[in-house]
Amino acid sequence: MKPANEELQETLAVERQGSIHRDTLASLKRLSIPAGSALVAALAFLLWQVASNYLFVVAAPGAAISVLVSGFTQGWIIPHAQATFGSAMVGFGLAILLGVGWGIFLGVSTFWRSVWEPLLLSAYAVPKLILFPIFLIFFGIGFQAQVAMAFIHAVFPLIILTTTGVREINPVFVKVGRSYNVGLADFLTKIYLPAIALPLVVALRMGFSLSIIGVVLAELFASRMGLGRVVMQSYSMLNIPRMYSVILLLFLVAFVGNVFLWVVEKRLRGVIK
Amino acid sequence: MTPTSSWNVLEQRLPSIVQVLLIAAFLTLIEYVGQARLISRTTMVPFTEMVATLWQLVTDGEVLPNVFRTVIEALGSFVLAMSVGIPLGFLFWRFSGLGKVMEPYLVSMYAMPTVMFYPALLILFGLGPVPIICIAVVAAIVPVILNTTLGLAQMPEVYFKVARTAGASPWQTFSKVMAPAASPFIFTGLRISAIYSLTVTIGMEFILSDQGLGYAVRIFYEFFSTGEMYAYIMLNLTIAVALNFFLFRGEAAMRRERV
Repeated sequence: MKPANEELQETLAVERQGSIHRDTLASLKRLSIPAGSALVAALAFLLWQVASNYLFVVAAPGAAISVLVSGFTQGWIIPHAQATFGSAMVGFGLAILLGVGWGIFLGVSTFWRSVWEPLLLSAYAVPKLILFPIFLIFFGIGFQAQVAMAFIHAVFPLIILTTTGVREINPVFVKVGRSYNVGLADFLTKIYLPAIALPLVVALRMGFSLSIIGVVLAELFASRMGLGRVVMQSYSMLNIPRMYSVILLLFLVAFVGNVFLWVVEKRLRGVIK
Repeated sequence: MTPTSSWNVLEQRLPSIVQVLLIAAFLTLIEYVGQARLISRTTMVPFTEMVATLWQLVTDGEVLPNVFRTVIEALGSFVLAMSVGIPLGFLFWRFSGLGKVMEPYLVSMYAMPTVMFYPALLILFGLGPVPIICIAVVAAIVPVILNTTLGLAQMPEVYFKVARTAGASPWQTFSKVMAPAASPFIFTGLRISAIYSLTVTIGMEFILSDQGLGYAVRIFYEFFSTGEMYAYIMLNLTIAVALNFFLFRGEAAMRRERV
Protein backbone atom coordinates (compact mmCIF):
# COMPACT_ATOMS: atom_id res chain seq x y z
CA MET A 1 0.00 0.00 0.00
CA LYS A 2 1.15 3.52 -0.71
CA PRO A 3 2.03 5.42 2.41
CA ALA A 4 -0.70 8.01 2.43
CA ASN A 5 -0.15 11.05 4.55
CA GLU A 6 -1.84 9.89 7.71
CA GLU A 7 -1.60 13.25 9.31
CA LEU A 8 -3.75 14.96 6.71
CA GLN A 9 -5.95 11.92 6.22
CA GLU A 10 -6.44 11.80 9.93
CA THR A 11 -7.48 15.43 10.20
CA LEU A 12 -9.97 14.53 7.53
CA ALA A 13 -11.11 11.43 9.42
CA VAL A 14 -11.54 13.42 12.61
CA GLU A 15 -13.56 16.05 10.74
CA ARG A 16 -15.75 13.45 9.09
CA GLN A 17 -16.39 11.52 12.25
CA GLY A 18 -17.11 14.76 14.04
CA SER A 19 -15.16 13.69 17.09
CA ILE A 20 -12.50 11.20 18.01
CA HIS A 21 -14.68 9.81 20.75
CA ARG A 22 -17.10 7.15 19.73
CA ASP A 23 -19.19 6.95 22.86
CA THR A 24 -22.30 9.10 22.74
CA LEU A 25 -22.80 11.06 25.90
CA ALA A 26 -26.12 11.98 27.40
CA SER A 27 -27.69 15.21 26.19
CA LEU A 28 -26.92 16.89 29.49
CA LYS A 29 -23.27 15.99 29.11
CA ARG A 30 -23.33 17.17 25.51
CA LEU A 31 -24.30 20.62 26.71
CA SER A 32 -21.55 20.57 29.30
CA ILE A 33 -18.80 20.04 26.69
CA PRO A 34 -18.90 23.58 25.18
CA ALA A 35 -19.31 24.91 28.71
CA GLY A 36 -16.19 22.97 29.73
CA SER A 37 -14.28 24.30 26.72
CA ALA A 38 -15.30 27.84 27.65
CA LEU A 39 -14.17 27.14 31.21
CA VAL A 40 -10.75 26.05 29.91
CA ALA A 41 -10.48 29.31 27.96
CA ALA A 42 -11.42 31.27 31.08
CA LEU A 43 -8.83 29.33 33.11
CA ALA A 44 -6.16 30.06 30.48
CA PHE A 45 -7.02 33.75 30.68
CA LEU A 46 -6.79 33.65 34.48
CA LEU A 47 -3.46 31.85 34.22
CA TRP A 48 -2.24 34.56 31.84
CA GLN A 49 -3.26 37.22 34.39
CA VAL A 50 -1.49 35.40 37.23
CA ALA A 51 1.63 34.71 35.15
CA SER A 52 1.86 38.40 34.25
CA ASN A 53 2.14 39.23 37.96
CA TYR A 54 5.17 36.99 38.43
CA LEU A 55 6.97 37.02 35.07
CA PHE A 56 8.14 40.28 33.57
CA VAL A 57 8.19 38.74 30.08
CA VAL A 58 4.43 38.27 30.28
CA ALA A 59 2.35 41.41 29.77
CA ALA A 60 -0.93 41.69 31.68
CA PRO A 61 -3.98 40.86 29.53
CA GLY A 62 -5.47 44.29 30.21
CA ALA A 63 -2.28 46.05 29.11
CA ALA A 64 -2.05 43.97 25.93
CA ILE A 65 -5.69 44.66 25.05
CA SER A 66 -5.41 48.41 25.64
CA VAL A 67 -2.25 48.63 23.52
CA LEU A 68 -4.01 46.68 20.77
CA VAL A 69 -7.01 49.02 20.91
CA SER A 70 -4.72 52.05 20.82
CA GLY A 71 -2.96 50.47 17.84
CA PHE A 72 -6.21 50.72 15.91
CA THR A 73 -7.37 54.09 17.27
CA GLN A 74 -3.96 55.69 16.73
CA GLY A 75 -3.44 53.64 13.60
CA TRP A 76 0.17 52.47 14.07
CA ILE A 77 -0.74 48.79 13.81
CA ILE A 78 -2.89 49.11 10.66
CA PRO A 79 -0.14 49.26 7.97
CA HIS A 80 1.63 46.30 9.63
CA ALA A 81 -1.58 44.28 9.79
CA GLN A 82 -2.25 45.14 6.14
CA ALA A 83 1.24 44.03 5.14
CA THR A 84 0.96 40.71 6.99
CA PHE A 85 -2.60 39.72 6.12
CA GLY A 86 -2.37 41.19 2.61
CA SER A 87 0.62 39.10 1.58
CA ALA A 88 -0.76 36.06 3.43
CA MET A 89 -4.06 36.24 1.56
CA VAL A 90 -2.46 36.81 -1.85
CA GLY A 91 -0.15 33.82 -1.26
CA PHE A 92 -3.10 31.79 0.01
CA GLY A 93 -5.14 32.71 -3.08
CA LEU A 94 -2.35 31.63 -5.42
CA ALA A 95 -1.96 28.41 -3.41
CA ILE A 96 -5.69 27.70 -3.81
CA LEU A 97 -5.51 28.21 -7.59
CA LEU A 98 -2.50 25.96 -8.06
CA GLY A 99 -3.29 23.52 -5.25
CA VAL A 100 -6.87 22.76 -6.26
CA GLY A 101 -6.02 22.61 -9.97
CA TRP A 102 -3.09 20.31 -9.49
CA GLY A 103 -4.96 18.31 -6.85
CA ILE A 104 -7.84 17.62 -9.25
CA PHE A 105 -5.38 16.60 -11.96
CA LEU A 106 -3.54 14.20 -9.62
CA GLY A 107 -6.82 12.85 -8.30
CA VAL A 108 -7.94 11.93 -11.81
CA SER A 109 -4.65 10.58 -13.15
CA THR A 110 -3.49 7.44 -11.32
CA PHE A 111 -0.10 7.48 -13.00
CA TRP A 112 0.83 11.07 -12.20
CA ARG A 113 -0.53 10.64 -8.70
CA SER A 114 1.87 7.80 -8.01
CA VAL A 115 4.70 9.88 -9.47
CA TRP A 116 3.98 13.04 -7.49
CA GLU A 117 2.57 11.77 -4.20
CA PRO A 118 5.90 10.82 -2.54
CA LEU A 119 7.51 14.05 -3.75
CA LEU A 120 4.66 16.16 -2.39
CA LEU A 121 4.63 14.37 0.96
CA SER A 122 8.39 14.95 1.29
CA ALA A 123 7.97 18.60 0.37
CA TYR A 124 5.30 18.92 3.04
CA ALA A 125 7.70 17.59 5.71
CA VAL A 126 10.53 19.99 4.89
CA PRO A 127 11.36 23.10 6.97
CA LYS A 128 10.14 25.68 4.46
CA LEU A 129 11.29 28.69 6.43
CA ILE A 130 14.94 28.12 5.45
CA LEU A 131 13.98 28.63 1.80
CA PHE A 132 13.17 32.24 2.67
CA PRO A 133 16.70 33.57 1.91
CA ILE A 134 16.33 32.20 -1.62
CA PHE A 135 13.09 34.18 -2.03
CA LEU A 136 14.82 37.23 -0.56
CA ILE A 137 17.66 36.91 -3.07
CA PHE A 138 15.26 36.54 -6.00
CA PHE A 139 12.53 39.01 -4.98
CA GLY A 140 14.21 41.32 -2.49
CA ILE A 141 12.80 42.16 0.94
CA GLY A 142 9.11 42.94 0.76
CA PHE A 143 5.70 41.94 -0.51
CA GLN A 144 6.71 39.36 -3.13
CA ALA A 145 9.01 37.37 -0.85
CA GLN A 146 6.28 37.24 1.82
CA VAL A 147 3.70 36.12 -0.74
CA ALA A 148 6.07 33.35 -1.85
CA MET A 149 6.41 32.28 1.79
CA ALA A 150 2.62 32.16 2.33
CA PHE A 151 2.23 30.25 -0.94
CA ILE A 152 4.80 27.58 -0.18
CA HIS A 153 3.39 26.97 3.29
CA ALA A 154 -0.21 26.62 2.11
CA VAL A 155 0.09 24.86 -1.24
CA PHE A 156 1.13 21.32 -0.25
CA PRO A 157 -1.78 20.50 2.10
CA LEU A 158 -4.11 21.95 -0.54
CA ILE A 159 -2.74 19.68 -3.27
CA ILE A 160 -2.63 16.59 -1.06
CA LEU A 161 -6.14 16.98 0.37
CA THR A 162 -7.74 17.88 -2.98
CA THR A 163 -6.11 14.80 -4.52
CA THR A 164 -7.53 12.64 -1.74
CA GLY A 165 -10.97 14.17 -2.19
CA VAL A 166 -11.04 13.55 -5.93
CA ARG A 167 -9.68 10.02 -5.58
CA GLU A 168 -12.37 9.11 -3.09
CA ILE A 169 -15.24 10.24 -5.29
CA ASN A 170 -17.89 7.59 -5.67
CA PRO A 171 -17.21 6.11 -9.16
CA VAL A 172 -20.96 5.79 -9.69
CA PHE A 173 -21.25 9.59 -9.80
CA VAL A 174 -18.67 9.71 -12.57
CA LYS A 175 -20.36 6.88 -14.47
CA VAL A 176 -23.75 8.59 -14.23
CA GLY A 177 -22.15 11.81 -15.49
CA ARG A 178 -20.57 9.94 -18.41
CA SER A 179 -23.78 8.20 -19.39
CA TYR A 180 -25.62 11.52 -19.42
CA ASN A 181 -22.83 13.00 -21.58
CA VAL A 182 -22.16 15.82 -19.14
CA GLY A 183 -19.79 18.53 -20.40
CA LEU A 184 -16.46 19.27 -18.71
CA ALA A 185 -17.69 22.46 -17.00
CA ASP A 186 -20.71 20.68 -15.53
CA PHE A 187 -18.53 17.70 -14.62
CA LEU A 188 -16.31 19.95 -12.54
CA THR A 189 -18.99 22.11 -10.93
CA LYS A 190 -21.81 19.59 -10.48
CA ILE A 191 -19.94 16.34 -9.79
CA TYR A 192 -16.38 16.97 -8.62
CA LEU A 193 -16.86 20.15 -6.61
CA PRO A 194 -19.73 18.94 -4.38
CA ALA A 195 -17.93 15.62 -3.85
CA ILE A 196 -14.67 17.23 -2.74
CA ALA A 197 -16.29 20.15 -0.89
CA LEU A 198 -15.55 18.76 2.56
CA PRO A 199 -11.85 17.88 2.09
CA LEU A 200 -11.51 21.19 0.28
CA VAL A 201 -12.79 23.16 3.26
CA VAL A 202 -10.43 21.23 5.55
CA ALA A 203 -7.61 22.09 3.16
CA LEU A 204 -8.67 25.74 3.08
CA ARG A 205 -8.67 25.84 6.86
CA MET A 206 -5.14 24.43 7.03
CA GLY A 207 -3.96 26.64 4.18
CA PHE A 208 -5.39 29.80 5.76
CA SER A 209 -3.57 29.25 9.06
CA LEU A 210 -0.35 28.06 7.45
CA SER A 211 -0.16 31.04 5.09
CA ILE A 212 -0.41 33.45 8.03
CA ILE A 213 2.16 31.49 10.03
CA GLY A 214 4.46 31.38 7.00
CA VAL A 215 4.35 35.15 6.54
CA VAL A 216 4.80 35.92 10.23
CA LEU A 217 7.78 33.54 10.48
CA ALA A 218 9.36 35.24 7.49
CA GLU A 219 8.74 38.64 9.07
CA LEU A 220 10.52 37.56 12.23
CA PHE A 221 13.54 36.90 10.03
CA ALA A 222 13.61 39.91 7.72
CA SER A 223 11.02 42.47 6.62
CA ARG A 224 10.36 46.18 6.49
CA MET A 225 6.73 45.94 7.57
CA GLY A 226 4.43 43.46 9.21
CA LEU A 227 3.25 42.12 12.54
CA GLY A 228 6.20 39.71 12.87
CA ARG A 229 8.55 42.65 12.52
CA VAL A 230 6.68 44.59 15.22
CA VAL A 231 7.08 41.61 17.58
CA MET A 232 10.81 41.40 16.85
CA GLN A 233 11.23 45.17 17.32
CA SER A 234 9.27 45.11 20.58
CA TYR A 235 11.51 42.25 21.70
CA SER A 236 14.70 44.19 21.04
CA MET A 237 13.25 47.30 22.77
CA LEU A 238 11.76 45.17 25.56
CA ASN A 239 8.34 46.67 24.89
CA ILE A 240 6.49 43.66 26.32
CA PRO A 241 2.88 45.00 26.22
CA ARG A 242 3.22 45.89 22.55
CA MET A 243 4.67 42.45 21.80
CA TYR A 244 1.65 40.79 23.42
CA SER A 245 -0.84 43.11 21.74
CA VAL A 246 0.42 41.91 18.35
CA ILE A 247 0.47 38.26 19.44
CA LEU A 248 -3.11 38.70 20.66
CA LEU A 249 -4.20 40.13 17.30
CA LEU A 250 -2.55 37.26 15.41
CA PHE A 251 -4.16 34.65 17.65
CA LEU A 252 -7.56 36.31 17.30
CA VAL A 253 -7.39 36.40 13.50
CA ALA A 254 -6.09 32.81 13.27
CA PHE A 255 -8.75 31.64 15.71
CA VAL A 256 -11.68 33.47 14.10
CA GLY A 257 -10.67 32.32 10.60
CA ASN A 258 -10.29 28.78 11.84
CA VAL A 259 -13.64 28.73 13.64
CA PHE A 260 -15.42 30.30 10.65
CA LEU A 261 -14.16 27.57 8.29
CA TRP A 262 -14.94 24.99 10.94
CA VAL A 263 -18.58 26.14 11.01
CA VAL A 264 -18.70 25.95 7.20
CA GLU A 265 -17.33 22.42 7.49
CA LYS A 266 -19.99 21.37 9.99
CA ARG A 267 -22.74 22.84 7.79
CA LEU A 268 -21.37 20.92 4.82
CA ARG A 269 -21.26 17.72 6.81
CA GLY A 270 -24.92 18.29 7.68
CA VAL A 271 -25.80 18.86 4.01
CA ILE A 272 -23.89 15.76 2.90
CA LYS A 273 -25.57 13.57 5.49
CA MET B 1 10.59 -13.98 -18.51
CA THR B 2 7.81 -13.48 -21.02
CA PRO B 3 7.51 -10.12 -22.77
CA THR B 4 4.23 -9.43 -20.99
CA SER B 5 5.67 -9.89 -17.50
CA SER B 6 8.71 -7.71 -18.20
CA TRP B 7 6.33 -5.09 -19.55
CA ASN B 8 4.34 -5.37 -16.30
CA VAL B 9 7.50 -4.88 -14.26
CA LEU B 10 8.34 -1.80 -16.31
CA GLU B 11 4.82 -0.49 -15.82
CA GLN B 12 5.12 -0.98 -12.06
CA ARG B 13 8.48 0.75 -11.91
CA LEU B 14 7.51 3.56 -14.26
CA PRO B 15 6.38 6.04 -11.56
CA SER B 16 9.70 5.65 -9.70
CA ILE B 17 11.63 6.04 -12.95
CA VAL B 18 9.72 9.21 -13.80
CA GLN B 19 10.34 10.48 -10.26
CA VAL B 20 14.09 10.02 -10.63
CA LEU B 21 13.97 11.69 -14.05
CA LEU B 22 12.03 14.67 -12.64
CA ILE B 23 14.52 15.18 -9.81
CA ALA B 24 17.46 14.75 -12.21
CA ALA B 25 15.94 17.28 -14.60
CA PHE B 26 15.47 19.77 -11.76
CA LEU B 27 19.07 19.40 -10.57
CA THR B 28 20.36 19.63 -14.14
CA LEU B 29 18.40 22.84 -14.60
CA ILE B 30 19.99 24.35 -11.49
CA GLU B 31 23.41 23.19 -12.71
CA TYR B 32 22.88 24.58 -16.21
CA VAL B 33 21.48 27.94 -15.07
CA GLY B 34 24.50 28.33 -12.78
CA GLN B 35 27.15 27.14 -15.25
CA ALA B 36 25.81 29.17 -18.15
CA ARG B 37 25.77 32.26 -15.91
CA LEU B 38 22.12 32.91 -16.72
CA ILE B 39 21.92 34.26 -13.20
CA SER B 40 24.72 35.76 -11.17
CA ARG B 41 26.75 33.73 -8.67
CA THR B 42 25.43 35.89 -5.84
CA THR B 43 21.93 34.66 -6.70
CA MET B 44 22.54 30.95 -7.13
CA VAL B 45 25.49 28.60 -7.59
CA PRO B 46 25.50 25.44 -9.75
CA PHE B 47 24.36 22.22 -8.07
CA THR B 48 27.79 20.54 -8.25
CA GLU B 49 29.28 23.54 -6.49
CA MET B 50 26.69 23.25 -3.70
CA VAL B 51 27.78 19.63 -3.20
CA ALA B 52 31.48 20.55 -3.30
CA THR B 53 30.99 23.41 -0.84
CA LEU B 54 29.04 21.15 1.48
CA TRP B 55 31.83 18.57 1.37
CA GLN B 56 34.36 21.32 2.09
CA LEU B 57 32.31 22.47 5.09
CA VAL B 58 32.05 18.91 6.38
CA THR B 59 35.81 18.29 6.13
CA ASP B 60 36.48 21.65 7.79
CA GLY B 61 34.55 20.37 10.80
CA GLU B 62 32.10 23.24 10.42
CA VAL B 63 29.00 21.10 9.99
CA LEU B 64 29.24 18.60 12.84
CA PRO B 65 28.71 21.01 15.78
CA ASN B 66 25.66 22.46 14.02
CA VAL B 67 24.24 19.00 13.38
CA PHE B 68 24.91 18.08 17.00
CA ARG B 69 23.05 21.13 18.31
CA THR B 70 20.04 20.56 16.04
CA VAL B 71 19.88 16.88 16.98
CA ILE B 72 19.98 17.74 20.71
CA GLU B 73 17.12 20.21 20.36
CA ALA B 74 14.97 18.12 18.01
CA LEU B 75 15.53 14.93 20.01
CA GLY B 76 14.89 16.74 23.29
CA SER B 77 11.57 18.13 22.12
CA PHE B 78 10.57 14.80 20.57
CA VAL B 79 11.32 12.84 23.77
CA LEU B 80 9.44 15.42 25.86
CA ALA B 81 6.46 15.40 23.48
CA MET B 82 6.39 11.60 23.59
CA SER B 83 6.74 11.19 27.34
CA VAL B 84 4.13 13.84 28.15
CA GLY B 85 1.87 13.32 25.13
CA ILE B 86 1.20 9.59 25.50
CA PRO B 87 0.04 9.84 29.16
CA LEU B 88 -2.07 12.89 28.28
CA GLY B 89 -3.62 11.04 25.35
CA PHE B 90 -4.40 8.14 27.69
CA LEU B 91 -5.95 10.57 30.19
CA PHE B 92 -8.14 12.19 27.51
CA TRP B 93 -9.33 8.75 26.43
CA ARG B 94 -9.97 7.47 29.96
CA PHE B 95 -11.90 10.61 30.90
CA SER B 96 -13.55 11.23 27.55
CA GLY B 97 -15.41 14.30 28.84
CA LEU B 98 -12.08 15.97 29.53
CA GLY B 99 -10.88 14.85 26.09
CA LYS B 100 -13.89 16.44 24.40
CA VAL B 101 -13.44 19.65 26.37
CA MET B 102 -9.78 19.89 25.26
CA GLU B 103 -10.36 18.73 21.69
CA PRO B 104 -11.12 22.11 20.02
CA TYR B 105 -7.92 23.53 21.49
CA LEU B 106 -5.79 20.56 20.49
CA VAL B 107 -7.16 20.46 16.94
CA SER B 108 -6.69 24.21 16.39
CA MET B 109 -3.28 24.35 18.10
CA TYR B 110 -1.42 23.87 14.81
CA ALA B 111 -3.29 26.85 13.37
CA MET B 112 -2.07 29.24 16.06
CA PRO B 113 1.15 31.20 15.53
CA THR B 114 2.69 29.90 18.79
CA VAL B 115 6.13 30.77 17.40
CA MET B 116 5.38 34.36 18.32
CA PHE B 117 6.22 33.49 21.91
CA TYR B 118 9.79 32.69 20.90
CA PRO B 119 11.12 36.22 21.63
CA ALA B 120 9.50 36.15 25.09
CA LEU B 121 11.12 32.77 25.77
CA LEU B 122 14.45 34.17 24.58
CA ILE B 123 14.21 36.90 27.22
CA LEU B 124 13.31 34.32 29.85
CA PHE B 125 15.85 31.58 29.07
CA GLY B 126 18.47 33.31 26.95
CA LEU B 127 19.94 32.14 23.66
CA GLY B 128 20.25 28.36 23.67
CA PRO B 129 18.40 25.09 23.27
CA VAL B 130 15.71 25.71 25.94
CA PRO B 131 13.48 28.28 24.17
CA ILE B 132 13.70 26.28 20.94
CA ILE B 133 12.69 23.07 22.70
CA CYS B 134 9.74 24.91 24.33
CA ILE B 135 8.33 26.02 20.97
CA ALA B 136 9.03 22.68 19.26
CA VAL B 137 7.35 20.68 22.06
CA VAL B 138 4.10 22.63 21.70
CA ALA B 139 3.97 21.69 18.00
CA ALA B 140 5.21 18.12 18.46
CA ILE B 141 2.97 17.09 21.36
CA VAL B 142 -0.37 17.61 19.58
CA PRO B 143 -0.15 14.68 17.12
CA VAL B 144 1.02 12.39 19.95
CA ILE B 145 -1.96 13.26 22.16
CA LEU B 146 -4.52 13.07 19.34
CA ASN B 147 -3.21 9.77 17.97
CA THR B 148 -2.93 8.12 21.38
CA THR B 149 -6.56 9.02 22.16
CA LEU B 150 -7.65 7.93 18.67
CA GLY B 151 -5.74 4.64 18.94
CA LEU B 152 -7.35 3.77 22.25
CA ALA B 153 -10.82 4.96 21.19
CA GLN B 154 -10.86 2.82 18.05
CA MET B 155 -10.39 -0.42 20.07
CA PRO B 156 -13.50 -2.64 19.88
CA GLU B 157 -15.26 -3.17 23.21
CA VAL B 158 -14.83 -6.93 22.68
CA TYR B 159 -11.10 -6.69 23.45
CA PHE B 160 -11.86 -5.57 26.99
CA LYS B 161 -14.55 -8.22 27.42
CA VAL B 162 -12.16 -10.95 26.33
CA ALA B 163 -9.49 -9.62 28.68
CA ARG B 164 -11.98 -9.61 31.54
CA THR B 165 -13.21 -13.14 30.75
CA ALA B 166 -9.62 -14.37 30.62
CA GLY B 167 -9.11 -12.82 34.07
CA ALA B 168 -6.40 -10.42 32.97
CA SER B 169 -5.03 -8.04 35.59
CA PRO B 170 -5.18 -4.29 34.83
CA TRP B 171 -1.47 -4.36 33.94
CA GLN B 172 -1.95 -7.37 31.64
CA THR B 173 -4.93 -5.65 29.98
CA PHE B 174 -2.75 -2.63 29.42
CA SER B 175 0.40 -4.36 28.17
CA LYS B 176 -1.14 -7.28 26.27
CA VAL B 177 -4.33 -5.73 24.89
CA MET B 178 -4.32 -1.96 24.85
CA ALA B 179 -0.70 -1.27 23.97
CA PRO B 180 -0.59 -3.58 20.90
CA ALA B 181 -4.03 -2.45 19.70
CA ALA B 182 -3.24 1.26 19.89
CA SER B 183 0.45 1.16 18.92
CA PRO B 184 0.06 1.62 15.14
CA PHE B 185 -1.89 4.83 15.75
CA ILE B 186 0.57 6.01 18.39
CA PHE B 187 3.48 5.29 16.05
CA THR B 188 1.86 7.45 13.37
CA GLY B 189 1.57 10.24 15.96
CA LEU B 190 5.22 9.80 16.90
CA ARG B 191 6.31 9.94 13.26
CA ILE B 192 4.50 13.23 12.69
CA SER B 193 5.81 14.48 16.04
CA ALA B 194 9.41 13.70 15.05
CA ILE B 195 9.02 15.62 11.78
CA TYR B 196 7.51 18.60 13.61
CA SER B 197 10.32 18.54 16.20
CA LEU B 198 12.92 18.74 13.46
CA THR B 199 11.25 21.35 11.25
CA VAL B 200 10.28 23.67 14.09
CA THR B 201 13.76 23.37 15.61
CA ILE B 202 15.42 24.29 12.31
CA GLY B 203 12.94 27.15 11.82
CA MET B 204 13.58 28.64 15.26
CA GLU B 205 17.35 28.31 14.82
CA PHE B 206 16.95 30.16 11.56
CA ILE B 207 15.10 33.05 13.22
CA LEU B 208 17.47 33.49 16.15
CA SER B 209 20.07 31.16 17.65
CA ASP B 210 23.80 30.82 18.12
CA GLN B 211 24.31 27.40 16.56
CA GLY B 212 22.51 24.74 14.56
CA LEU B 213 21.60 23.80 11.00
CA GLY B 214 18.98 26.55 10.65
CA TYR B 215 21.34 29.11 12.19
CA ALA B 216 24.02 28.21 9.64
CA VAL B 217 21.67 29.08 6.75
CA ARG B 218 20.94 32.43 8.34
CA ILE B 219 24.53 33.36 9.08
CA PHE B 220 25.81 32.55 5.58
CA TYR B 221 22.90 34.52 4.12
CA GLU B 222 23.90 37.51 6.21
CA PHE B 223 27.56 37.15 5.14
CA PHE B 224 26.45 37.03 1.48
CA SER B 225 28.20 33.63 1.24
CA THR B 226 25.72 32.28 -1.28
CA GLY B 227 27.59 29.02 -1.92
CA GLU B 228 27.72 28.06 1.76
CA MET B 229 24.10 29.13 2.25
CA TYR B 230 22.87 26.87 -0.56
CA ALA B 231 25.06 24.04 0.74
CA TYR B 232 23.40 24.27 4.15
CA ILE B 233 19.88 24.63 2.69
CA MET B 234 20.55 21.47 0.71
CA LEU B 235 21.78 19.67 3.83
CA ASN B 236 18.69 20.75 5.80
CA LEU B 237 16.30 19.59 3.10
CA THR B 238 18.14 16.28 2.67
CA ILE B 239 18.04 15.54 6.39
CA ALA B 240 14.30 16.32 6.64
CA VAL B 241 13.42 14.26 3.57
CA ALA B 242 15.59 11.35 4.75
CA LEU B 243 14.02 11.36 8.22
CA ASN B 244 10.55 11.44 6.70
CA PHE B 245 11.42 8.59 4.31
CA PHE B 246 12.86 6.29 6.98
CA LEU B 247 10.00 6.92 9.39
CA PHE B 248 7.51 6.03 6.64
CA ARG B 249 9.51 2.89 5.91
CA GLY B 250 9.68 1.97 9.58
CA GLU B 251 5.96 2.47 9.96
CA ALA B 252 5.19 0.36 6.89
CA ALA B 253 7.49 -2.40 8.16
CA MET B 254 5.76 -2.33 11.54
CA ARG B 255 2.33 -2.62 9.91
CA ARG B 256 3.49 -5.58 7.79
CA GLU B 257 4.89 -7.37 10.81
CA ARG B 258 1.59 -7.09 12.63
CA VAL B 259 -0.38 -8.54 9.72
